[in-house]
Amino acid sequence: MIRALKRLGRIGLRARLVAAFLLVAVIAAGTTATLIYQEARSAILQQAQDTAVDQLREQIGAQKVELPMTRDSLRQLSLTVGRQGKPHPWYVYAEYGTLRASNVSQPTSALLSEDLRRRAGANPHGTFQRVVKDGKPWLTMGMPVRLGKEGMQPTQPSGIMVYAVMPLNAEEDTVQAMVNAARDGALPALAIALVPALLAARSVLRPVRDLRRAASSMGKGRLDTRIEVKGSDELADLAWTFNESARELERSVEELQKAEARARRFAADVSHELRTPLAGMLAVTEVLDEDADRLDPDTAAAVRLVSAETGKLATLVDDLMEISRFDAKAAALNLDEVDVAETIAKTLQRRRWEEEVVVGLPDGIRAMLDPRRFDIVVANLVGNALRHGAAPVRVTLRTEELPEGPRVVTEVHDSGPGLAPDVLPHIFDRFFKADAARTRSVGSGLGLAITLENVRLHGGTVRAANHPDGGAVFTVVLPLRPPVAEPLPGEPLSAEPVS
Amino acid sequence: MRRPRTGVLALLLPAVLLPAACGVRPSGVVEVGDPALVQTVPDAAHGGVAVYLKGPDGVLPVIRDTEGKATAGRAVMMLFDGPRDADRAAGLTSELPSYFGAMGMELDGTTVRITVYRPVRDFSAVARQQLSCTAAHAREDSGAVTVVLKGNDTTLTLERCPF
Repeated sequence: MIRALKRLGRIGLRARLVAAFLLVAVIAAGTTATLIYQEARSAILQQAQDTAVDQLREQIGAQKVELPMTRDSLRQLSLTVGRQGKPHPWYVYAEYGTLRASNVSQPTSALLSEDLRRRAGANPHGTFQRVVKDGKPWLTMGMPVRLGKEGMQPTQPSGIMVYAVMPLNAEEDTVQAMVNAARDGALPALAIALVPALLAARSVLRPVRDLRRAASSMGKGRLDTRIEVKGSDELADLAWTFNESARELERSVEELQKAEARARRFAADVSHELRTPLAGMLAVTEVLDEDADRLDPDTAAAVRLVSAETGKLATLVDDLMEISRFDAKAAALNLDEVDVAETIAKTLQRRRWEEEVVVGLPDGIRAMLDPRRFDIVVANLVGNALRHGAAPVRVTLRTEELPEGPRVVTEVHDSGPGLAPDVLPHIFDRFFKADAARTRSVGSGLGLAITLENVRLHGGTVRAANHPDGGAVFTVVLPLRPPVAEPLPGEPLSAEPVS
Repeated sequence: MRRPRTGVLALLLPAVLLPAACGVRPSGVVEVGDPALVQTVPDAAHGGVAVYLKGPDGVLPVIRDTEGKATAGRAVMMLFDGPRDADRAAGLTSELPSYFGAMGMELDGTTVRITVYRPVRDFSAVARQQLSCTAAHAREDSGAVTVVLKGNDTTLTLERCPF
């Protein structure tokens, strides 16, 4: 849930790449368009202005004037010049002395700025100025008229000043058309830029996705996972490094597994090799035991000690061999439908524990079990309880309906001091001694480990805990019908206090 | 800290360029090229002489038709005749007093000597310029002529015509 939220809040690699591409495209297109636009606009305006000023000069130069000008001749001049204005008719305002005349009704124009008038009057040069009034652009020109001939200096002032005003609509339309073209061109350009953006994102994302899949596959234990190395970029380097690491890891794990297998085989071999001489020794010690009464007391004690220790050694070797079979996965489950209560009762009876154990065994609970292994489980737990706990030991049986299916639950509860909290997590470890002072106990130190393996083999769990009312409780939960498939190794086994 | 700043810079680039973007913008006054040149009717070859009168921004020439007798003396005499109705209608005046007396004129290289029989000390600066320009342009196109005015009170060397 939180991860999903995080993923929503996080911008993905693809989105980032596409955004970066689009940003680059926008900046490139925008900058280029703006620069081109500005250049083109100034070129368009420049040409319009230069043409207009040149034409105004030429039109006026084609006239012959009578001095002094009269109101009529001044108006005539403005009409003639205005008529020939290109590309648009001009508004022409001619001034002479105190006379003002134009080719329109107003003799002067508000569009002509003071600055233009001053500069045109002060210097013998043509001048122009662009002005914008009410959102409309105009070109205003001032042209002082002097007397003289082309190429002859000096010239004399004539006192005539001609101003012309020309709308720049057409130029503005052209400029606007460029803006529109840039805008209309930009959107398709962005759409086109999206294609390489997505392609680039894909080319980056595919290796990343492959890496993720491979990493997760390795995490699930498939150490032979490799990635296809394509190209020679950084991602290919990464894939190559990943493959190298995976190869190293696989080799290390393989070596570890081999070493462990060797160690287990060695333990199995040792116990097997010990068995034959031990069998002989057991036979001899039995004979010696029988004759011990006839020996002198010191020798008799020694003989009994040897006999007892040999018996323990035999148990240890048997347990070791049993554990080795589990490690080698050679332990097989011989299932049989049995009455569980009856099986437990038989176990107790065989070991003569009926008097020390209080039972709560309801009849009629039938389960598919390996009777031999179940016997070992019960015997180990009850034996443990009797040795380390205190009487009375209670064995109870019940069934439970769990989501995974029906379960048969066996509980062994002693009345001892319970288990120390620091012992609980290790109670099922091999050769773990809960009571450090009693290093030489009756058991082999493998009893609970074997119990655990047997329960696992059934697809069940065993749990050690302290009862709230005191005493240790071992709970074995077995399925009524074990799964056909072998139970997964390393199934969670909890060993925690109930309280 | 570095990354956002780069991003902001990248975004600023078009933003800086954009304000100067749309439409036709107003401009300052720009001077381009020469003024317009016109010829007068009649020109000097057809008897026209330029007489300089006072306009709103300094002295201006008006063309008088001498009917073929375009000389410097004639031009100066026509200047002393004063502005006509058409000149006055256009706001042109003269600061020279009306003078219809005898007048002497002597040409010596680039020097023109004018002799009038009246006081000349009280001639204003504009009046002197009118006289100088009229005499100079009647004599030579370039106007590079020194005019010496002799009255019955003093002799003045007039400033050269600026045109």
